[in-house]
Amino acid sequence: MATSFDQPVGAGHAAGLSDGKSGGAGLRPGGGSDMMPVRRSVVARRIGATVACLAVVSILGVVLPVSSALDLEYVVSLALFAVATNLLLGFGGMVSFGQGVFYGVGAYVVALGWMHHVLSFVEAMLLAPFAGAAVAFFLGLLALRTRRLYFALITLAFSQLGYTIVQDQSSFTGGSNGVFGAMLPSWLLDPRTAFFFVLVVSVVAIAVLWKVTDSPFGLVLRAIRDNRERVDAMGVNVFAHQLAAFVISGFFCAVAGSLFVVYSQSAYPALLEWTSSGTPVFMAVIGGMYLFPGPIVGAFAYQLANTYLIEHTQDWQIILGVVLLAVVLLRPDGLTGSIEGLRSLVRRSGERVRGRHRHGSNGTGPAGPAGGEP
Amino acid sequence: MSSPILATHRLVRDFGGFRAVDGVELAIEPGTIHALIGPNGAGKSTLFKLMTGVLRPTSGDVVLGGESIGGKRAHAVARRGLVQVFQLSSICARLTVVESVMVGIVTMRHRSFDPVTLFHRRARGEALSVLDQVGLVDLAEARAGKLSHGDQRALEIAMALAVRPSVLMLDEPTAGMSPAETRATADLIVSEARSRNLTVVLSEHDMDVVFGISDRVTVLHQGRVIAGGTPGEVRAHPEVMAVYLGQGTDGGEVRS
Amino acid sequence: MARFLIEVIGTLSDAGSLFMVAAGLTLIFGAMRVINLAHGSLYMYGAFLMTTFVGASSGLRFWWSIALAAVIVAALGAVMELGIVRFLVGKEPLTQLVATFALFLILADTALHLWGNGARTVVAPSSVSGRFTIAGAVLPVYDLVIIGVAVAVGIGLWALLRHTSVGWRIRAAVDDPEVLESGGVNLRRLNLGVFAVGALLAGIAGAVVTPQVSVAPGMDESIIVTTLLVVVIGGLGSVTGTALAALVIGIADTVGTLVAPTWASTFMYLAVILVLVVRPWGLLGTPER
Repeated sequence: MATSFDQPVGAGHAAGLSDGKSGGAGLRPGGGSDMMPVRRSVVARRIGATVACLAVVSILGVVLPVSSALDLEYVVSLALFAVATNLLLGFGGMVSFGQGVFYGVGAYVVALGWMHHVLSFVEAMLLAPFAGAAVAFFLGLLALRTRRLYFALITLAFSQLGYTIVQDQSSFTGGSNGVFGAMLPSWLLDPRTAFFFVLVVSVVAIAVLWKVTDSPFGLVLRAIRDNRERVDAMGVNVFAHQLAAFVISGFFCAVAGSLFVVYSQSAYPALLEWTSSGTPVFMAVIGGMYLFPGPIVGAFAYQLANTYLIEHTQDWQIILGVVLLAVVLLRPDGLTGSIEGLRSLVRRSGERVRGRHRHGSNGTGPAGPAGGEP
Repeated sequence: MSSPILATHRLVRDFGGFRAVDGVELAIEPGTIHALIGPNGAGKSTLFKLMTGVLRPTSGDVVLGGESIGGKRAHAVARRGLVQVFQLSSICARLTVVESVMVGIVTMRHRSFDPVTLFHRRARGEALSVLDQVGLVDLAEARAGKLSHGDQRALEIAMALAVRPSVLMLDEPTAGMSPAETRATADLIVSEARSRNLTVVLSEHDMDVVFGISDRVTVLHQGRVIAGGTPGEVRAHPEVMAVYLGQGTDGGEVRS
Repeated sequence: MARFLIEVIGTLSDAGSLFMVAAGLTLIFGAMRVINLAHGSLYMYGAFLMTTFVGASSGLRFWWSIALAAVIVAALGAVMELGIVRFLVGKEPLTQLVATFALFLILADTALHLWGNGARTVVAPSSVSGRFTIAGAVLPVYDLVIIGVAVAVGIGLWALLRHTSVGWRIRAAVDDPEVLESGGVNLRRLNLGVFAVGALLAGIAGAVVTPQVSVAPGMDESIIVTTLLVVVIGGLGSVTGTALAALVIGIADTVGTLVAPTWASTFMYLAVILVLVVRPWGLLGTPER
């Protein structure tokens, strides 16, 4: 493992650990405990970890060389992409392989607005999420007629539909070459400014998504994931809730897509292809779908490993394949889930041996000291 | 005698050429515990599904509180106050116990689209009080999937009660339970029905439960109602004795 | 008329090769309830192995190479089944999709090591590489070869499923694996066999089409998408539905190309989505529970 991405991965783990500590309270609205002091300390620790991570990422954005800061900027936007996808995947139980469509719509609204001189940058950035949400609404109406595997495959077909439209309608979209050029306004040209712009937008968007998952709506969504017939029998309109989740996910995936333009100053058809639709899914799976920070951890691990490995080996895909197989077959709850499981295991064995000898606070997983036992 | 809270009129359901429910007329009085019994294949489960909106009737109608609900979908029926507990254990495994009940409260209060967290504390308080009634409050923070079978059944009843139904439909609530769990569940049903003035419709194989807690019993056979009345009347009914009670009292556990 | 005939034969040839790949995928899904995103990789391996075996020569060796490539791909499929796929039986769709996508990635990079980045071509033996004229239409002979092989595969599958005890078991496994297992059938061996046969079909298809395509990395990715569409609109698990769907896709593509070339692919996807809107479980599929 290289030093170039040790720190951000560690930072991601810290977020995961802090939630693992609270027993996943970050996901469970009102979860944790009734005892307010305990709950307050959990909240405080979670806020502390979040602030610490943000501080680390911000500092890295300033001190890293520009090319590495750009990599980090991209990872941050991908984290948003993965979190927005995970609203469907981990919280809604809907396996969508069509998220690239919304990502691509977000990117192309900005890029085409510039190419056709119809939208200013700011207008395009504001419009992009709503375009993504609108597309998600119509695709959701169709896709949610199916379930499970068929849902995954029909969303994959959407991805390819979007890809071919963008690819073939070259007079409007620039075709397979995509759109590229000086599409950023002058105030965003400085790479450090662009970095913080992407960071702020992503963090705000992720915070909103956290609120959504930690709300009555998020609760009902998780209940549908676990047992849709039961929830249906309690009077919940399952279809309407899933459609709402689909639209929200489309909205924020499009935000992530518009941030891609800030990062790369381009948009191209491959953004919509099914393999790029798969990327946020794999990030969420690697990081862990059932904890809110999971996809963030996954995005950091995935993209930084990608960036690093592509420089040093031709076998990046083999390594990714082996990792994916290992996670999905051996650790289906992903990195964060494994850490949470490990911690509760340590805690339990700690309780069992307490009194005999003091139990150490280490050995809580690869990220080691980040969280710290009480 | 008041007007029935739940009624079926000439309810028919065909599966291919097979008529599972054949012109059933039911009238269930508010505030009563009403048992549906019958041998396997009598059409109890189908009748349940027709009343709760899981299945659509081939013909006929279901009327809840004066409003036709025949053919309405399950969540729309539940919204109107008729909530069911399934025959097989059916919980949200990854949710905690208190969260499971909060789903019902959030739904009943029309807050399920609420993307803001402020409602949570109130919903949580209400959920805990429902859990208190069914005796699960100590397990509030446990994962629903880790509960014992009996506790899961109690949780399901709590989830249904959280919606504040006017009619609670229980499909074999004691199936697979130990005698102690069965007794506790029967007591719970009676106390909830009496304290909330709740109408309970249950299908049940355990005749002790049926005759112990029901105000009214309806007997189905081959998709038709062959008898109905108080437990005493039904027990004495000659046709019932012939087709049902006579062929082995427990009615068998094996289900289709 | 001549033009029409050319289009018909071309469409049938495309649909035929698509059917061979898709039939393997749907057979596997039908028996094992596993979706395999690496199925297109098996097709690509069939094609690459073909380029290796044929070498510069053609003639009789061409036909032996098809058989050899297909058998090796079947063996590769068996290894995949033993190593990974059997652990996916009964798992969530997400697990199956991610795991087989991982196989897709691994196989793609391995192919890059084995055969490099360039495109390869295979020349069909002179006996089938020419053209023939019928009703004024000049047609490639090799189109008829592909159609013939596809029809043979279709008939073979039909005979296998309808008239052998293995076929009976496969059909029973689709209906109720538990009953089958309790009846003493070794499901593991059955699954292994089915997966190998599915891989064999992909291998045959990949090897047979080589004279008409350029064999290069990336053909796994492009074929798997179309294959998935075919099996989905045919109805997952239905071989007949797959044949029907391959025709639908082939025709949609041909008509689209004739009417509005820049919208052809778009039309194809729209046709797929339209079918799924009307029949969410595909043309001949049954609803998934």
